[in-house]
Amino acid sequence: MYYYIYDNYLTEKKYQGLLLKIESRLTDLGINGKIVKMSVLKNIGDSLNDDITKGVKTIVIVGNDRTLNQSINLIRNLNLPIGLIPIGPDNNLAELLGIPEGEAACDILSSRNIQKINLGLINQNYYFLSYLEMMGDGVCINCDDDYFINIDNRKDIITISNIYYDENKGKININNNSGYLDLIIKNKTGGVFRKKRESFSHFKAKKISITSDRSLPILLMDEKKIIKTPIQTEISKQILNFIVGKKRKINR
Amino acid sequence: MFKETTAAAATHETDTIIGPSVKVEGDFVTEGNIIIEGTICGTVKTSKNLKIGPASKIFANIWADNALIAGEIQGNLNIANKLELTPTAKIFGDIKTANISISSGATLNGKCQMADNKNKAIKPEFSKQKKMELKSQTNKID
Repeated sequence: MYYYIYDNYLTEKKYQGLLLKIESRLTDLGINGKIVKMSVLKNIGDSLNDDITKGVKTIVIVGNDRTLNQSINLIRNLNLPIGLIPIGPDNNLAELLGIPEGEAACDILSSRNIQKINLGLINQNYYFLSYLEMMGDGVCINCDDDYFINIDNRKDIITISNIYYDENKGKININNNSGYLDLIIKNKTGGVFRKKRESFSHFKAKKISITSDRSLPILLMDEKKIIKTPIQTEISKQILNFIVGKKRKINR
Repeated sequence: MFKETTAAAATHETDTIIGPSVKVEGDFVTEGNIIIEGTICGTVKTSKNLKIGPASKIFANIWADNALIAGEIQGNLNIANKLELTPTAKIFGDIKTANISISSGATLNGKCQMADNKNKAIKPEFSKQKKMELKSQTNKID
């Protein structure tokens, strides 16, 4: 049985037509199943655990990056293939996984091409799929307990990524799903009268710890959630089985 | 324009970039190409290529396969293949390499050793014979 998790924003009128088309395509392909809609009042975890015992074999997230990332900590232990039907804006992860938007995603789902993807782990208890960002103001970063990186510039932006989809990705050699976390430090100098210059630093490590003189906010891009320093991130042993398309941009 | 495209290609093949705003302390060991534009204290080891930019300051011993150096290094260099020093390079330490190219203007303060001790020329045998002859001559005189 397929288990479809719909995001809250899909109840908007503009998506109703597309949803009808997707549902009829899924019925044609014979992969329709139970539909659960996310809401503030509903705990999907409980209803999912009930349905697992009834024979759920594939979980499909219908929505955008945020929907997928919100579901990660719910579905990571189930060891089931995870599909994605991207609808609307902010679908960078779907693009990396080679899944087209809307109705065409149903064909990818039925082809069932599965790829294993590592998850990142924060402070030994919280899993993330994409990346986290923070400002570099008096920050010390320890990579694999081998070397330290000291950053004092307020304008520096620090990114720790498991899967990275930022627009600057083309300037740096990042292999998503390589079994390493990528540490990217962006620095912008210049101003109104001076020429603007941008420089990058890029490191790879399996374990990255961040400490600072005072508690600094870190934005977890997955859920637009804020956590605070000190943190320890690492590549987790937890692997998710994603259903991917042929045009994926992620390593095997 | 041509320069920009080649630089972009070089960064795309590089696994580690240490930018000008970054200071690294400790043992930096990797198996990929490295570009350093910032400051490092400790050791740098790579089995591939190393490029050190003109604004960089390195207080470390370095091991690499090939190296192109334009910045300042205080430490020893062990380069397995080719070492290239550009006019802005400043080195305060010993060098061990198989192949070296030093541009005019580069500063080198230290010993430079090329190739292994095994490959050094063997003393010819005639020197021994000469010694024997000299000894016999001196004996005769006595």
